[in-house]
Amino acid sequence: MASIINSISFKNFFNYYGDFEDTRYDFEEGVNIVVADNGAGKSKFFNAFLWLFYDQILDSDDKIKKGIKDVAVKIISDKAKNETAIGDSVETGIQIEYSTGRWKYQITKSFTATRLRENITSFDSWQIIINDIEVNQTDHILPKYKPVYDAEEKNNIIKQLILPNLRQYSFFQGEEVDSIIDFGKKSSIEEAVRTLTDISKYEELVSLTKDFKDKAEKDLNKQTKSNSEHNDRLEKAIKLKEEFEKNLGNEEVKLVEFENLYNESEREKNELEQNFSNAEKRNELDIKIKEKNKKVNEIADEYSSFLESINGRFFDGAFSWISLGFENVESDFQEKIQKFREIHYEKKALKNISENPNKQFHFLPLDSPDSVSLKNMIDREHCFVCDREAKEGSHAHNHFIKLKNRAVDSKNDVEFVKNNLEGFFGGLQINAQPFYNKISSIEDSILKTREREIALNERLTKLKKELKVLKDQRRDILISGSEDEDAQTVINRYKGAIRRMESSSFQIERLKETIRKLKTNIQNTEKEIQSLRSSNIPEGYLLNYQICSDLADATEKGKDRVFNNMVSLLEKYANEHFQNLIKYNELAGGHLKFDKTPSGAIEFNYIDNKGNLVTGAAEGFQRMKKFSVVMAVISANTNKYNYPLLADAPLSAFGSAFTEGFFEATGKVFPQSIILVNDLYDKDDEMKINELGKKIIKGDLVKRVYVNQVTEGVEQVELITTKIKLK
Amino acid sequence: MDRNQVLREILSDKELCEKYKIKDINTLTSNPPYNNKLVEVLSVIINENDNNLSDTQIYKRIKNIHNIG
Amino acid sequence: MNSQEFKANLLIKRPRYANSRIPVLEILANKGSRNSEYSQFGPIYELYIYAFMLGLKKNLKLPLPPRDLTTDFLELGKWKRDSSLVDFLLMIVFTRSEELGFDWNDLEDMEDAELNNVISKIITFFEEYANGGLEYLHGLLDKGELENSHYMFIDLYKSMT
Repeated sequence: MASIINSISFKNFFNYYGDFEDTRYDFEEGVNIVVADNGAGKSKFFNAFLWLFYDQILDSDDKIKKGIKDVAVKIISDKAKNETAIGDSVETGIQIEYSTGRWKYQITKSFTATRLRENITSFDSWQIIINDIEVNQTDHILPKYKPVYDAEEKNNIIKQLILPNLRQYSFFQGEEVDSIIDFGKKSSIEEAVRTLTDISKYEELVSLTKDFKDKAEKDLNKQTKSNSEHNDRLEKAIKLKEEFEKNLGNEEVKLVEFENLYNESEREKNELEQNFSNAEKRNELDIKIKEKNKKVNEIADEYSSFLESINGRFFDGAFSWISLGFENVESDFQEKIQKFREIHYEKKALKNISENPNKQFHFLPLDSPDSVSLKNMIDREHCFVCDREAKEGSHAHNHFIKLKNRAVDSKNDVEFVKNNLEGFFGGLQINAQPFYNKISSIEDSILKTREREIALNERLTKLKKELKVLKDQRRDILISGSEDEDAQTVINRYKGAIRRMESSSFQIERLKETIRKLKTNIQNTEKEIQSLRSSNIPEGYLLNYQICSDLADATEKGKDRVFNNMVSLLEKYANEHFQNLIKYNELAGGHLKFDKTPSGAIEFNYIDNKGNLVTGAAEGFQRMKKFSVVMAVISANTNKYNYPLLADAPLSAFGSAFTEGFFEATGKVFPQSIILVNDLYDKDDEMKINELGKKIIKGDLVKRVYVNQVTEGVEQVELITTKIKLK
Repeated sequence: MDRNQVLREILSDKELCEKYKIKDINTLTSNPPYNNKLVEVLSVIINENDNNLSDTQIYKRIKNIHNIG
Repeated sequence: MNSQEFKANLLIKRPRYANSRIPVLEILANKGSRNSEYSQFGPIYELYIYAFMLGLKKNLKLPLPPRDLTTDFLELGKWKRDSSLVDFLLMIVFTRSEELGFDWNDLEDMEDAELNNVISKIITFFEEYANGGLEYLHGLLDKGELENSHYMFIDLYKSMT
């Protein structure tokens, strides 16, 4: 009979604003998926269970689990905090409903926060009171819940959802998979075996039977001493055996020490490997982030300068936007200046100036063509305007000369008007060209401006997105141990750890050999003692010793058998799950093998189909390896595992090749699973999920899909998460 | 944790069964009556450990089985 | 007066704006430092020219109030100093010489005093159309009809064609 989670609701819990009814997720048997981008309530969802089971949440800023009361203010929805006036209160909580075959339960955990002061983010501004846990139950026949009052019963109901010692295999975040089955820790598999078997019982019996064997031997020896005649050889043999046993004890103690040393060194090596690669990754990302940031700032500056330059285009002669709509000015002015010139030169003519050299030229402003061009055309005897010959002596050539000389000539002009403004008007017309000769292309210029602005903006947005991705990646790298260690120190420590592993491994071998020899000696001496004992000893003592001795051996062997059987079973299931998880990946083939290390710890190795050990495989494979072992623990649970899986799946770490296999396998192993993912989110898609996501939700085992969204473009205090139900 | 299961697991050693003339371990139970001293001693250890008797107390019971002091 | 002198006399003039337009000037011109939520021009003359052109397009000629209710600003010759912007503006003015009440050729025969009078009329021409344009902008501002984007000015300008 399985526990099935029926619903999870939130009240003013982080980005989930509103009452329980407003943010309620209903779940069913089978696979349930909640898709959410980072920051859209994914890990918060998960925090609800941390609260339920442990009265804690995971602080996303420093990745440390903290007590509810300690971080209460951070938990309350910002929008709700903002809406609570000083003196008023707001309630924050989580509510979970689940069913077993017979009963349905509703559990509510909450606290009330009263606002005391202005600053809503300060812990001093709020008074926090944790409310009583509410638990209601109903059988599936009656519709109404009835409250449960007894405190112990309440706790049992909460515990029952997922039993404590199985929680770590059933309820975890992406990175935790790594630590649940920490291949560097001997204790990982041992713990799993312990959870699944009664190995502790056997261990008790082993120690008891050993103890009884000693006692039986002592009793036997006492009898022997009091019964037999003085028997030197017997005496000697007994002493010898005691000697051996003492040595054996010592060697066994040493063995344990070296095994511990080996384990510690191995653990350190693994940590350093992880640390080192983390430190390297971190540094890599830091460099990338710095570069990207610089780029972002550059483009941001470029963009904002560009925006500010837009209005300048009105007055800049290269764009001349100000002229838009004034197309007529050019022709109107031309008309007027021509009329002006006619009358102007008529006046001049009226003053009887002979041979007005300018008469013919009054359509051309004084410096057009300029004297340099004129000189060129004269010297080369060619007109560059119409591209024709102008040989010396020809009419055209003479005309050039006259044009070139008129500037000089006009100085000799007698004044024929009071104010000669020809230069003024002509000057305006020439100078202002940049402002009237491109009016027709202004519309185009405006369009191009918009296009450029959009392009810059898009570029900026893209860069910012890329920067965010890098920063998110950086934030997710957990560093344990000292952050300031430089690469060389880490390498030295690493080498040291490996050395210690090697030397302790060697010692372990040596000691095991010694111990083996001692045990053989002890056995032989024992045989000797047996034959030397007098026959007067009461049967009972002999039998007692015999039985106790045999039982001590048999119990030890039995314990080992139980342990090894379970390990084999785990290996079998792990392989089954592993095959399922990797079946959509081209690299499939090969299997998982469990091996014992010198210290007795268990290692998981991936052996390819040629029998070779595969190391350093891609991260996706590593994750799948671990995940298969976790699932094996569930399958090997001899009471068919009845608890839901709640997992935050870092599908990007799995790799898309594994994602399909993951969902299939999960559906088969767990009666109900609730998987939180962000990698299937696509904000530009209509359904908000990407292609892979659409494929997955078509699967038969997938019963429910929610997509979380955060309201965009609003201030922090207005940020809330809403959900869409896709299936 | 099933006592019978533990009993059978520990005794599932062919040589041991031969030595102590145990025919079929699948029918073995940790409850009396006992046909076999080995089985009896082991059963007592398993049962009384469950009942939280101390090791000295358990050992005394064992000695009684053999009628020794 | 020759061409250079005539031009120089024109360019030395400092147009005026009504003091009641100061709010608009402050909001829509920033004189080099950003200080408003609307798109802005830089120096005052830019906004002034824009308003002038707007006034011309929409035929909004509005006389200035009495002198003490007005303020002058930068002289014409210094408006976008190294460009021919002012030449273009003058072109526009002179195409409307009838409205201003003079004939190009008559200018050549006028005494200096009369010429200076023409110059004053030209300046007044700038002032009145600019005032009309500024009032129009002021109205849009008050009604909240000014678009809050970097394209505000160009969109408005285009819509007037």
